[in-house]
Amino acid sequence: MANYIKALLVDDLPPGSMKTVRVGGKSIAMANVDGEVFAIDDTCSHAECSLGSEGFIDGNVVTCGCHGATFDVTNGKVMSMPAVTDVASYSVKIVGQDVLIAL
Amino acid sequence: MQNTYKYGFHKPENYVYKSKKGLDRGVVEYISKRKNEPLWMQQFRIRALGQFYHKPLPLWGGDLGGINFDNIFYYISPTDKIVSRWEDLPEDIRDTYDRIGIPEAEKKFLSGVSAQYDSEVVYKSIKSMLSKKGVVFLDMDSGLREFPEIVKQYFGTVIPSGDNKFAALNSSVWSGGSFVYVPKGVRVDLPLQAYFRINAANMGQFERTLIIAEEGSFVSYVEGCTAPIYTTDSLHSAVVEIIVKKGARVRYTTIQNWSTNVYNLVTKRARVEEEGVMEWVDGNIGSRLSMKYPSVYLVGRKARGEMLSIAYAGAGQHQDVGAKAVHLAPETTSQIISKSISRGGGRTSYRGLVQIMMGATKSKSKVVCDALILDEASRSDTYPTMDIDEQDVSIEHEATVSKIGDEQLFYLLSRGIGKAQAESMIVNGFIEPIVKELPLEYAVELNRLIQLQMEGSVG
Amino acid sequence: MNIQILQNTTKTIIQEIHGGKAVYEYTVTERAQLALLFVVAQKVDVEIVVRVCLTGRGARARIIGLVAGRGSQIIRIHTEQIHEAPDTTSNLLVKAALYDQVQFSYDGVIRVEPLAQKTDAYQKNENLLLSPHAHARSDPVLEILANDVRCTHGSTTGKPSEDQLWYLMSRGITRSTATQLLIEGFFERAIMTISDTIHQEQIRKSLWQII
Repeated sequence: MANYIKALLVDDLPPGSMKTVRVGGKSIAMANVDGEVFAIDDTCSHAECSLGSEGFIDGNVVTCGCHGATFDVTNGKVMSMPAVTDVASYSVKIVGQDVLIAL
Repeated sequence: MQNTYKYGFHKPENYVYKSKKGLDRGVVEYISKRKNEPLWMQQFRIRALGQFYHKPLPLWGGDLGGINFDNIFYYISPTDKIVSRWEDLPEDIRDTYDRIGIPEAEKKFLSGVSAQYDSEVVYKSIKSMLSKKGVVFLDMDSGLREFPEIVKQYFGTVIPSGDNKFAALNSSVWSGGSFVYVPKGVRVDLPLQAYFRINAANMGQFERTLIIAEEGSFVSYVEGCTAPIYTTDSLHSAVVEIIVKKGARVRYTTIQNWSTNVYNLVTKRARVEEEGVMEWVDGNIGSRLSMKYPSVYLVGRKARGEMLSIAYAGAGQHQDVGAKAVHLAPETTSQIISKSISRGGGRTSYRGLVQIMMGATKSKSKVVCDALILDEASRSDTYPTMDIDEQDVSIEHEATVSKIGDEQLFYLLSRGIGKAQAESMIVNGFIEPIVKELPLEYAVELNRLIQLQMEGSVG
Repeated sequence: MNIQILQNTTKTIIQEIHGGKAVYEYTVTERAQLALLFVVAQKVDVEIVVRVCLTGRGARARIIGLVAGRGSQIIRIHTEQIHEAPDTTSNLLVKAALYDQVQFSYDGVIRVEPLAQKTDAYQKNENLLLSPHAHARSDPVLEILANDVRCTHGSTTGKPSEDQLWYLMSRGITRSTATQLLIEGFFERAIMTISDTIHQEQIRKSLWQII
């Protein structure tokens, strides 16, 4: 049974925005894509920059601010080099005003 | 029309279109509209422009302080005809071409005396041979137009626009370059040479090249020229992306001899899958400052990368060049051989990276850098990095900097050979292991060029 | 801390490095000779700079750094061989045996100034990885502004040779003893360059705290 932990409030993450949160000992990048919220590991699999705080989001594509590697925020899949490994992606549930992540 | 056949002096001008200097969103939109590009490419360019503004200049490498970004034409529209005569060329340029032994057709092309017609003829016959095999070899603009789905799948996936400031610049204003696609299992034995299929406009400042070698294929691509290219364009920032799929092999050879007012800042990278092989052969002879580190990302088991680099720096030149090998899978191998020569106050710096990521077990890498400093005024540096995160590997690096050996020199002098000639023989012998990997005519030209440089006749 | 090796003298220094950060500077003057061996074999993080300047004609320096690391130590070593005068020689060797999750980084510069003609300078870094999670980074640098010189650097990283292990095991020695022998042998050659046997024992003792 997945363990859902509260990450932030719905109002903290308006559509088109992305932020880094620390939940359950991990750094997670959370993004709101047209009303739907997604969560992936915040650490870029290339040189470990923070995707949420140093990167950019455009639609569902997260671009790392350091060297431009891109990931699909809906599933963590890597889309361009210099990263070559996917990042972990986490289930998200919205309960009332709270956004919960399964870790 | 600004003469893109590139002399140090202006030809009489018939302006069909004159772009303004400097870069802004309007210039980028104009470029994209003029080329009739799909929306995604226009958006790609605009996003890259933002990244270019956002990213800082690197704090390492050569001195980039002399680049004035506002004083550059970022786009010049193509010419249809080039109007000039061989006799109008400065005598020393004609002389150099003669002495290096550039073939007639190339001379005319390089000097802008319109080999366009000639190259069209040669190009057409190569094109028909290639298309029978299903091989695509076009300029990048045409590649995007005729194969939009393939381009969209791969463009910017090896070098994303945010990779570094100059990749971002290229991504926003790129024009020209090559698009090569080789289908599964096809071997292209004839080296594909850039200048055959391009016209004046495409020998540009911001070339973008994309090469895709499907499983089990082979292709060899050659670009550049040993003959000095005189250009008023002071910034050249190209991007080359190469995808080597399972069991395929790609060799990419470049010889660069831009005039010494040029900043040559290039991002070149190959993604190599299982059992694939990527070979970079890189010769840097010209430019005021070159910063170029051909890279391989070895992402599949048993993938291999080989980088051969020659750098020559004379007065007023700094070659800050090298190679990068990133090992991401088991049993991958890389080999880097770098030979550099600095003379007359020139400076060569080898800059390289060998990175073994966790999981790349049983990987091997060997790097050998040899540098000759020919006189007191010159300088040579080596800046390699080995970053190793796997235990079961074998990583070796060695570098040597020295002058021409007294014994070798004495041997030749005692046979009645003049000092300048003896030194140039020794230098040619020094670079021979790499020169022998070049297509024959390049090898011959390069040897002669070095000889001329050493004897003080040119450069 | 700066130690001067006076003209025409020879000095041998065995320096045991303790934890924490420190800078060790040595100036080798005209026709002086320095033999320096430093040992890093602590159970804590270490970050050191070892700077050797050859300021007088005919100066010579031989530097050996022996490093052994365990646990989650972070060990950073930065060395400098700076040649400012003609006819100088330096030879530096850093050998590291790395266990567990040790993070080791070595960066070393050989810099030859324009006046330092007829310099011979060598630098070698050899890293032995003894566990799957040890990490080594090596950045040897050459900056050469004189031309009548010979400067070389090298770096190798890997695990103990399987061939050598097989050889020892085929003589009835267990794998773990064979590995231990190889590690001790890895350092032994360098230790033997110090002629004083009391110093040699001192060095071995320091290393055996870790290896």
